[in-house]
Amino acid sequence: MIKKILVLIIASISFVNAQSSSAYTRYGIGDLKYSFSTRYQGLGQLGVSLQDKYHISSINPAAWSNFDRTKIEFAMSYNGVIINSSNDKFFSAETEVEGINFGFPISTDLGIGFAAGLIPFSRVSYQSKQNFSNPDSLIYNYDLIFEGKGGLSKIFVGSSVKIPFDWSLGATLDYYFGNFKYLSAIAFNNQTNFSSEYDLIYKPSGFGASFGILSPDLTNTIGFENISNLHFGASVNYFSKLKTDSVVTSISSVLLDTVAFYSDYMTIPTKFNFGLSFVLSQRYLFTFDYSLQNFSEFKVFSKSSDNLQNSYKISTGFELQPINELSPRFWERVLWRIGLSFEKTPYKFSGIGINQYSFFGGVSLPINPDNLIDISLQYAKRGTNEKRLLKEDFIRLNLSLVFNELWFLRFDK
Amino acid sequence: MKIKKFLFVSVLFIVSISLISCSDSPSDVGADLLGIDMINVKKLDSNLDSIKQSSNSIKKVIPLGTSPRLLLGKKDDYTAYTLISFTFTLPDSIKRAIKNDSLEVLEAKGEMNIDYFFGEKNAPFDFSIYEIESFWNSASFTADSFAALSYSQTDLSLNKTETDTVFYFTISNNIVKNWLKNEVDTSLARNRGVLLSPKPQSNKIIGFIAFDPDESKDTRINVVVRKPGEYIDTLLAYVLSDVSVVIGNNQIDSNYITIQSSLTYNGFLSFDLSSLSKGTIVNFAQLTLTLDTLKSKLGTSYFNELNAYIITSSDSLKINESNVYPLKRVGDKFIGDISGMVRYWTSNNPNYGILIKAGRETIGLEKFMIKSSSYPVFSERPKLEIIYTKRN
Repeated sequence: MIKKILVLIIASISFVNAQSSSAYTRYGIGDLKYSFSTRYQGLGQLGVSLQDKYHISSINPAAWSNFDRTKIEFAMSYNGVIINSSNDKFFSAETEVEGINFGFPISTDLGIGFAAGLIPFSRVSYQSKQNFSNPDSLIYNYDLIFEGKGGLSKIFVGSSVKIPFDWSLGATLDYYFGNFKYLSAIAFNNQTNFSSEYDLIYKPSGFGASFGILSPDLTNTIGFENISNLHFGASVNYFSKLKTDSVVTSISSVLLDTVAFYSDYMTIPTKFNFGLSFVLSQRYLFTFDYSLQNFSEFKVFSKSSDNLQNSYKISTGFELQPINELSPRFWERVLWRIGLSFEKTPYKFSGIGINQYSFFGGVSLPINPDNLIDISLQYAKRGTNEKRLLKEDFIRLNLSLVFNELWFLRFDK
Repeated sequence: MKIKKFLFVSVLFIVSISLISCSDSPSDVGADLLGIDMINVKKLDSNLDSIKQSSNSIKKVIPLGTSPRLLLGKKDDYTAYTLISFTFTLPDSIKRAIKNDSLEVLEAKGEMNIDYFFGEKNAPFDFSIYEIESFWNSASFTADSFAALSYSQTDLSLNKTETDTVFYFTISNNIVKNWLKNEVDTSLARNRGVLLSPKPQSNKIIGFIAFDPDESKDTRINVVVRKPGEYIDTLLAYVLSDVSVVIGNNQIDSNYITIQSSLTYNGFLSFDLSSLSKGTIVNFAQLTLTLDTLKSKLGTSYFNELNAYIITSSDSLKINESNVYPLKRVGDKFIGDISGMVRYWTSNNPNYGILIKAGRETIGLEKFMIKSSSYPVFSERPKLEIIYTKRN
């Protein structure tokens, strides 16, 4: 069954349409992807302190210490955005494959879990087209087209371990790679003039590392009644300087020329994540998370950008957990969740920071006791129309398939 | 079963949302934020942007053997000569008669079909026909070769008559008889053709249809022969080889670029485009040359076009003949798209300038007087307009 689903998903990838989103993503490394798993998306995208036996946390490797089965998680998303300027609006949508994560327990007693995956880290996607008319008969009318595509992805491989007092530590080795393509083009409306296209391409690559810590259940330490699974978690994503090749090519209808080629480094600031979660009355999970990244320190080729600022995200989530995970009734095994977040994005224009407010909802639909389909929906508002900036309304639908299987287990004779 | 159905619906859902992803046509929303990648369409106008330019005229003698027109006459400082050799297709009976020296030439009347006049159509015109004594080859014979041409000083022409379309002449029977002998046996007589040389009183140059195997209007000589007591026959002398040369010079005026066919004058033009830096995309480039219609001298029919070429070597003004940029006549201008030429220069190739030739440089004697880079009226100098794009 899993094989069939894999084939269908891979087949569906070929239909994926990549279309434009926000022009804000031209700056820095674009929109940041906070979380891979759809469950975490539904809880406000973070979930740093969640210890989750079904999903693979991509934000805190210490959370893998309670793996008891082999897990495979596929995710994809549909992103729709209405971009409003002060006098116009534009709808754009895209479908993305969010990646694949794989994990399995090595030792449940020692809390050694292993996981690896390929996931997006940021996303650039915009398109704009302006029409200009020129009284000069040799120029006439033309379209100025801007397009941005690409982003940064990471391949990670890591492990977790339990340390004394039931704390968990985790670490991953991350390999970041990406392709940022910024296109500027002119298309003339007459037949005589050749078109122009300039492509600026950044190809960063390099290593990074993530470290995480997760507390044991602190309920007994604090001693609140009706509260269980009280966890504190923290993680840090460190990036080495990513070696970056930059190529500027000019392309006309008859000629392709490499105008400039540079090789230097992209500096991505370290990202810190903190979280607290607990379960109230055995059914109601609450999460509180905070993530920050000083994007004012972001540099490409030793140049920082006036349009970047330190970013942070505060989110909270609530999950209604099933009364009985083994109930024969389908709807009694379903997990419901909602989340809220406020994000000070890395973008800043004319002194105005771009803030984002998001509402999340999600559900985990059990296929059987081990396998899930997760769905989450995000509605977010971002930006402002002040100073000719953009106001955006996002709808993001995430869907992931989570398979938990008993693999790699050795049974005593 | 329920699970399978559920999974199937899920996958169908995934594929569906992939397919329904759609967007409005791109608009200008967000363009204000993308100034970082701005590219601008700019125009470089040699007449407005003080681009350095230079021009001159270059005489370059070329062989006119491939021309479909023969020029003959004299006008102003130009003298056009024509060299023709004839051949026959003879039946065996005639050949035998020639060998036996029993064939008489009674009359040799030639006709040349007129297709062009340079100068007043009714102006006086006359010419002499001389027997050529030295070897010549139409493929390589040029005006520079003419001084070394050896020919007899006896005028072999008689009874010349000009109509609007045909020029008739009679040629000495003796020379025609020699051609016939040569046709049968080259040791019997010489046939190096004839030189048609304008007489000093001529004041026009006439263009005649040159040798063309597919045309019946090239020059012919009808030769009436007789074998005494047996027959009288008419033989046709066809052109075996022909070429014109035009001798003369133009007074060079630095305010003009002289471009002339047949004589032959080419124009040289150069623009300093060092302001177009690497990375510039040339979208369009147009060259405009202004013709001085009063100073130009044109024949009755001509190809109203000039051709521009990239000069690929500075030493000999070498050009790639197959890479032609036509400049079409619009009013008193010659205008052409030379985008490829400017792109060649902006692609790190050296800019040795532009060579400009008459549209058909081996036909006619048209003299196009183009206002040069030093013409006193700035706006009428050669104008190069370049539409280009540059990234900030």
